[in-house]
Amino acid sequence: MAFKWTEGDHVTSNILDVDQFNSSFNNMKGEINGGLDRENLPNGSISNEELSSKALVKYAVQPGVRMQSTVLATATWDDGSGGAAITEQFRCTNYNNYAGGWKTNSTQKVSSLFQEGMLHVEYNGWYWLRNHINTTNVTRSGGPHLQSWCQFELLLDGNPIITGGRHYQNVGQVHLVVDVPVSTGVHEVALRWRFSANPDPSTITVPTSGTELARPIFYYDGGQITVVNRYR
Amino acid sequence: MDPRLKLEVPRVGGIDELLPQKDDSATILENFTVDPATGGWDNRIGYEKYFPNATLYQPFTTEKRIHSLYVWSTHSGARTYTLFESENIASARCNLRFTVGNVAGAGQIVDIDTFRRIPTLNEPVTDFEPFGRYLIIVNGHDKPLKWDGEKGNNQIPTLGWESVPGPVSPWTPDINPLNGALGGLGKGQVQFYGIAAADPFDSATNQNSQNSGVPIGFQNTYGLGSKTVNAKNNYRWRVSFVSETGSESPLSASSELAKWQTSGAGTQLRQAVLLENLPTGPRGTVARRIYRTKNLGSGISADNEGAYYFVAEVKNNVETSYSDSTPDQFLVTLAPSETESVLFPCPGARFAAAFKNCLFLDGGQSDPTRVYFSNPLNPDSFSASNYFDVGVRDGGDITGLFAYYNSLIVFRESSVELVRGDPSTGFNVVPFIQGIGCRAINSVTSVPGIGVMFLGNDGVYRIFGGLDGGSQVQIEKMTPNLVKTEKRFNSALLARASATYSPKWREWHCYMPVDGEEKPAFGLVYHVDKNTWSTRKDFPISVIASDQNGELVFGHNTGKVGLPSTWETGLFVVSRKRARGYSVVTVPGDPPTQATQASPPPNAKYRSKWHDMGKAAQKKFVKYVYLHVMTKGDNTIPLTYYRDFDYTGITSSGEKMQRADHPDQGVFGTAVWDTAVWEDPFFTTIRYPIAQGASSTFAFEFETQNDIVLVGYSLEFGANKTQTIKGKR
Repeated sequence: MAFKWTEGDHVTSNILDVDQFNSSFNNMKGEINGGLDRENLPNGSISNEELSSKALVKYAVQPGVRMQSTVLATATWDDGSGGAAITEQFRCTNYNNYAGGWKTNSTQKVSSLFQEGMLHVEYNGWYWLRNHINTTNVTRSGGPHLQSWCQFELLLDGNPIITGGRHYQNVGQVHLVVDVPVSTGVHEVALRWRFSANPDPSTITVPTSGTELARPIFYYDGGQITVVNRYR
Repeated sequence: MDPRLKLEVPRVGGIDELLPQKDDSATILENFTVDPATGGWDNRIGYEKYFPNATLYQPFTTEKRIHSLYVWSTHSGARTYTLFESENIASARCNLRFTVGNVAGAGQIVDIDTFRRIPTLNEPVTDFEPFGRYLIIVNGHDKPLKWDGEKGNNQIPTLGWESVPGPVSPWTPDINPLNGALGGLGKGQVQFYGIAAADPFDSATNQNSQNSGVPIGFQNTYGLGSKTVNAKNNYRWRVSFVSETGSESPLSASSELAKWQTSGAGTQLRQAVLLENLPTGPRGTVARRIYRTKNLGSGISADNEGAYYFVAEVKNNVETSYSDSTPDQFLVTLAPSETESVLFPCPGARFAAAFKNCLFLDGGQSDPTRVYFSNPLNPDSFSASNYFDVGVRDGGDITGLFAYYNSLIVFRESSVELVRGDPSTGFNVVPFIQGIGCRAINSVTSVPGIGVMFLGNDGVYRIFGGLDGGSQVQIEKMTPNLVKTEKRFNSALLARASATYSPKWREWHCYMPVDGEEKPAFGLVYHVDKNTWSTRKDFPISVIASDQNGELVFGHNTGKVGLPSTWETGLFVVSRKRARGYSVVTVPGDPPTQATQASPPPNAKYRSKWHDMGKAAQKKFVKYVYLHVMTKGDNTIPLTYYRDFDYTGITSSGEKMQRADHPDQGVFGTAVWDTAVWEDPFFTTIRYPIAQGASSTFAFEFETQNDIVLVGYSLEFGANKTQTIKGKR
């Protein structure tokens, strides 16, 4: 409870009543031994000086998060002046390896024992995305240019806790921050990603050559998952 | 021979004012509590500041009389809000506030609602009722509030719905309603466009031609309207608010018709409709629900009304538009009927009670015989038919509501009624008793083992028993023997009486105005363990409440009025502190400061019953009074004794509360460090010699500020054959 009022008051010339003393003293003692709560701790009564390191928080970091199961693929740029096409190899994934949908990076994840409280989760990293601006073979006949994109999501025990927006730039930064309540136990935080499906989703036109499917599409790297567990 | 007789009262009882009095009773019993170790009367009580170590009365600095008080304990007592409502010396209005933490100082009081109406002297004060995670706050004048313990002044949502949402404005799909040509109404609605469409801007027609409908591939499962050539399509929408309690507001009026005709040529497509002006709700709104008709069909110009179905919930109170593409076949759940949620019917409610998951409120002063109840678990939504009118029977206005066992007790000025039933089978109200009423809703208290105690118009009553399982609800007067005290009540101001039960003290305290006074200054205390009554005097209690531990917190009945040296302000606590409040003294220094100084303890007064020793007509000669007490120390207590109901008596010398034929126990102030021991109080007898002539009846009295625990007493007396003489003519 928050307050204790007089349980026994010693008055001059009265006997020193042991029951009164015990009642007052035990109340005080009981308050310290378990009655303390946020109501009767004055503001500022506990500062960093009184706290041992990691008394109220735990953190876990997973550095070096990058795309798994990548391939080396070749991107081709047409030379507008009539010269030979320019090719470059990229470590990436492509439509030979990816058919759409979310893919979880289950190799580089955080799995640790957390206490009941809040979990502050952050992900930072960069990505590379091939889009229509800088390579060939991404248009389809008669239609507009395709806009390819990528997207990232963080999972807590398999459930999405934050989904980023779609990224359309060729190269960009990803920054995801979320706070979620958790119970005590081992929890797993993982990254998953997706990018726009096969560049020609039309039901009429299908990719015409294996070359297109082999074009590099997407890659991410330099990622780090940081998890801070604040105890309740 | 002097035939000594003895009258033994092993354990003293409570007040009995009905003559002749019961054997162990007292005529006066003032400022005592029950000593749990002996069952005797213990006068070691007093009151102290709510923040005992605070400078002066901080954080209470401007409070005048405290009008209402409620201790709301949440989170297993970890978060306890002591709410109080006080007049403020700086304004002519009340502020509703609560205390924070246990350190007095700035910021330890938080305003919940300011500039509230000051209750008149004879009207009930603010009523507080927990409902789930909310505290419902009503006072009959200010808007009823529902407080969650977090929100501050001007942020607290009001109870119920005060207004109906406005209708949405649907944008008719941009197709000519007459011929189905594109670009008809020119509003440029951008909803869906075909994936095979060319540049959205048609340079040939210089018009926006993108509204060609739901994309091919989705058109059979999404979108509004018919795909039949030249079909006419009509829709209407309605909207409701959803509060943070989950309550749904009344539905808005129907929107305008959104009407269009499916194209007569080319591909027939379904449409999505943009709803604009989606209304945002009042404080506390967390979502909006959208309802829609199914396709009203060919009535393109007819004002068709069909059934409305749930479309979607917009889970915020910010967005002002919504795009509706939910097809008719997905519309399954019917909208609530118009009568299911209506505007808040009782904005002037004075009393609130939670019963069977519903919130019950009275109709207020303008509708004083009506009881309204909310939809179950939704304290904000009230159906049109959710009310009773008890005015069809005698009994006066409703004066309070109180949930008890499986009934809701409706107190009226001169009758009591019961609400029975539950929300699924319906509630009904039945008369319980006529002739007994309760104007003091703040005195109604549930007391374990006793039932519901309340201060009626002519004494204290209890309601006990139930209506289920063969039980029977009964009512009983608990103060039939307090015939003089009852006459002191100021019946005009009983609405301001305040009572609470303390499980710590095992007492029911009720404070009310007496002797024509305007403020409660007199207390009636029922001691559960002894099943008897005592009184409290000199406790300036305006309102009282017990916290989760049974501590008796009270608000001062005067507050910051008068001289600084005498005023006490804010909240106080009845405790074992041997002080009757405080006075303010100047502490010398440079500069001098002011501090509170504890006042002397309250006077405790005990007067025995008038003893006739079994035969009033025979004269008695009382020789000794033996008080059976617990040793308390060297402070002396004199005895005054009376005969035959005289006003004045004879006062004996004071006696120490020490064993007479033993060395004295060590006392505070003389003990030597490391030598003295803590003492146990011993049960002993103190003899007082009585020097008084013959009497028919005898009584003794003591009035003291010194500590005493009176367990019982005995009288030693002689009697001869002298009888009362013949009556006077």
